[in-house]
Amino acid sequence: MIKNELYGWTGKIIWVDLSSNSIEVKSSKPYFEKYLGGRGFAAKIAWDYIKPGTGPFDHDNVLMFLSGPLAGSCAPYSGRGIVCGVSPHSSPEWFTRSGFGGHWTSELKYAGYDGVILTGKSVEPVYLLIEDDRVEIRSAQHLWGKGTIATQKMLINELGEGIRIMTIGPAGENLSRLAIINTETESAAGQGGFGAVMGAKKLKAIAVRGSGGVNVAHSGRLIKRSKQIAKIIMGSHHQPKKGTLDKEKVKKYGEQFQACTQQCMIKCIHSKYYRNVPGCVYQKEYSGQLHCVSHLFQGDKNMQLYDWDIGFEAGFEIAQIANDLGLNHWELIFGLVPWLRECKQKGILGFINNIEINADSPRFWIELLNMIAYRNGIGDILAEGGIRAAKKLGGTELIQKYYTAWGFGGHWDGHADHANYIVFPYWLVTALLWATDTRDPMSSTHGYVQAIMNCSPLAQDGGVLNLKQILSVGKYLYNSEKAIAPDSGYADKEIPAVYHSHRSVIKDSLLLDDQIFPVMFNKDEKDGIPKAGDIKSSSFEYHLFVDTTGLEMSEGDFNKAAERIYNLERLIQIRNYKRDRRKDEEIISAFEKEENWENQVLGEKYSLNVKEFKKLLNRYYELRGWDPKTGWPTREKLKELELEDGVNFINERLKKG
Amino acid sequence: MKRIKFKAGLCQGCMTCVTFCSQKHTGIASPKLSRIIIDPGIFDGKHKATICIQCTKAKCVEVCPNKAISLSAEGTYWEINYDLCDGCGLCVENCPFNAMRYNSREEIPFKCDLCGGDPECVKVCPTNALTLIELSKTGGLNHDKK
Repeated sequence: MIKNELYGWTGKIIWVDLSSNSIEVKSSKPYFEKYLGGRGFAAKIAWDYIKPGTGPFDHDNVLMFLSGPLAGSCAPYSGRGIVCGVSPHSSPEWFTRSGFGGHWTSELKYAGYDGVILTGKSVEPVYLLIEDDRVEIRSAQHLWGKGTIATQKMLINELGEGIRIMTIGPAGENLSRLAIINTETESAAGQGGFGAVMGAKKLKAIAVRGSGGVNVAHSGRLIKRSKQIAKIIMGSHHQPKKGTLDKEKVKKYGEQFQACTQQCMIKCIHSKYYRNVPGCVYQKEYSGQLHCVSHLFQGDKNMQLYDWDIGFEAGFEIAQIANDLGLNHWELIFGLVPWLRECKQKGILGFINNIEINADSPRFWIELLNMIAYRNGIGDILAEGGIRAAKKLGGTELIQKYYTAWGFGGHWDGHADHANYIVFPYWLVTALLWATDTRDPMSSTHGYVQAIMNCSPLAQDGGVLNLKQILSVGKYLYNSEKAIAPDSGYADKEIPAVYHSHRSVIKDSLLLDDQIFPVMFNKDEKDGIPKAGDIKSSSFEYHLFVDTTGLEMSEGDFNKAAERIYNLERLIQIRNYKRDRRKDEEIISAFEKEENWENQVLGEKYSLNVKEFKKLLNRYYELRGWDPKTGWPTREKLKELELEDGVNFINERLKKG
Repeated sequence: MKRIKFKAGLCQGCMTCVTFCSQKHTGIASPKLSRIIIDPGIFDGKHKATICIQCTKAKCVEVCPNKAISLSAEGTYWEINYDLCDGCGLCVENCPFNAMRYNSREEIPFKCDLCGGDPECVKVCPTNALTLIELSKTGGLNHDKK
């Protein structure tokens, strides 16, 4: 029996206008069923409040920090949050998103809120303090100019233990398009440049502490289900290698497991804590975490584009300084630095601010980070991000090698990203996901391509699944073996592309960890399909959602909500940025060159066949209920998704021709 | 007696024990309602846990004016009899380990009851930082304080 109170969600969102110093608490209830939480709420708010023409640094840009119904509960891998708004990092500047970990989102729920929405700009630097019913805009004069770590420590000193903080460093203050919003030592909203949006609003930090909790509708059921799901993931997750500690690093630097996010129930292969690591450039010691991306600051001699070799200590120092300055790791490692190296090789650029471009020199890295964060000299141009910097510095013909589309570095695409091993035909799904997304489609690609490339017989270490299991999962999830078979070419790739873009919406809305969900495989099952008690993998998210919220919603309606959110995001793109099929097809050129690795089953390297891909794109739009000519959702689809505003909008647009 | 043992070096600060504990006992996920408190060691990597160590000679039992705290039927942990407890909070004030907590909404103290002998936190800890150990008759107070 459900009591008359809210479960999962708190039902409240804080709206702050920094220009007028006004704070209002509004109900989030109208968004529950149709928009789920997180990314879904953000899409609705953006549709209602972000007008066409709004730039990232404009007064009217709406910066949102959102949690989801599961955050703070025992649901496994549920501690993440999401930042949304008009992005200065994306090219063009448009509405997009960036997820983050840590403990901040759960704390926001314990304080009683589903999200914080910010508009306007403050004249003086401020920070927002949220402690249960107390919400205050406070002066941040004393924090301005400080790094993200120092800011957090100062606020903890002032406000006491247990306070969780999202903050920007000098990069955000100086409006670098590489600016992150950091929490703890290294849990950041990294992509999107949203740190600069905070900087433009003169908002240094949001500090949260809550004394409440998250009501769970069916607590016993959620506990049981969470344990079942966590057990599968801990046992035979799609990252089959389990985290281990390096004995030497344990002895030298106290290496230990440290969850990057609340409610992470796995021994991570990446997320570790180290203490007192000596610097190579500065005479000091550093302590903090390393996550998945920052391990690469030290370089890897086996990875073609990232084969600098500066050692663990220098890599660690660079990572911690990047965290403190508030800079985007992905952009630096996968974009700017490899591009600068090639610019040097090709004689386009040899020095930046009199520092020789040399990724094998720790000093070069540190100087680079500082000049970007403070916009010193050429750093002022590099702070614009690789795509924009190349236009000013030269090297535009080289840049696409590193940046797939929309201003973002390569990611699981088999072309620009040389770290994540992926072969044809799987990157066709990545290409479809890039085509209709607004950033690198990270959380979607982690589902399909990452799981397949890490587990299938094609995996570099031989994989843990046999082909029969892979095909069985294809049949189960996509009703098609061709959608997943290693020799299936362009056939049926539209099906996983649509499916995983919706799974991405679900995990960004509840929110659930993007590396873990959707749970694709279980090597211990003969048919490869993960099962938790009486439910199968594609229903995991739905059951965690209804067990927590107590909402009487069918699984069909739950999945339809994800499709609604994806379509509403598309409508924002069409209305605010004139997005259409022609724009989507801009991603094609990034896939036309030969792929980075070879599919052993096919025995040769492939590049994108444009004619075949355009046919695939047709099938993708049709499967979505979008018009293949325009790439717009049809009115029938929007009616089906109960997006009445969208129907009216499309009607008007069509009338105008 | 049994006791939950915490190995700080293995804890990863994920708070999984906290959410499961509070949810299992109250239906609400909240660090304020959890029988186990974790400091996730965010900046120094030093994880700390506060949890009832089921003292052999327990201060909470001594100070309770209503004799509301007694040994469980199997003799494995101390439990609060809420029919006798008047919510005065003396046990909370006097616990030398700050492991007795107070639910101000319901005005009652609460403590770890080892989930009746099979603690949820031990079962869900992903890094085995929590284990259940059997105490010898000489084990008890001033032991394993982290």
